[in-house]
Amino acid sequence: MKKIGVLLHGNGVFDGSEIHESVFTLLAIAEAGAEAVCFAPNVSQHHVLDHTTGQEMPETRNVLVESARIARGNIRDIVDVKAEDLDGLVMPGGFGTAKNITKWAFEGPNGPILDSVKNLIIDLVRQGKPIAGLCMSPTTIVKARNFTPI
Amino acid sequence: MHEPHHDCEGTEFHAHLSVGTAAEASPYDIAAISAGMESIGQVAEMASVRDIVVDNDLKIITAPCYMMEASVVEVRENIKQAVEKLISLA
Repeated sequence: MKKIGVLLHGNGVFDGSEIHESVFTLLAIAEAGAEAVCFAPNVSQHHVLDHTTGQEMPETRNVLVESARIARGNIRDIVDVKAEDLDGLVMPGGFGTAKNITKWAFEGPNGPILDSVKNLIIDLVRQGKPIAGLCMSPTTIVKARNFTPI
Repeated sequence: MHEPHHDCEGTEFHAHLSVGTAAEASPYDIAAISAGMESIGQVAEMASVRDIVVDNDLKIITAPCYMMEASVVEVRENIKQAVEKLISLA
């Protein structure tokens, strides 16, 4: 059975993973007869937004802990995942990709990217394995060719 | 005398990808995000929520999803299209 990585980056469109897109990704992988392998960076979210108002909330949340809600607890820290373990990768959207993985939402294309994500993308491309970037995630794929650490 | 030119250990790549199209309704500034991707050497294609963009050389598939004003059904179909293509290349 093909193993397809799913890179999550929080839980909610404005500060993390887009939930609909994440769930539809898991559904499509299962429908195709493949196995989803969920992982996320073990870092603090850039910020926490109240999704009813868009206002910032005075709290901190961890990206891996929040992403685990979508994965129903079946999730790994991305630093423990190697390209060799996967046959492909899907990157659901939501602004977590541009706030928690890169800082594109604030700094545009010249901001940093997490090393763990950059290295996984580069390794997959080098190994000829496919990557699907949904929604805002193409901005993170293109940042993998940039060498500024976060 | 010139410094030798390194291609950053082969990690530079120039992908064709999409975050949506400026030709249809979107909550976001698709033209500006696309211009940002082009500013760092990538090729930003215009694509709707009914389309996926496939870079066959790099095996990179992109799907606009909620970057566009889209229904939950359209997003579900867009992701199904992208994941089926991904698995066919895996």
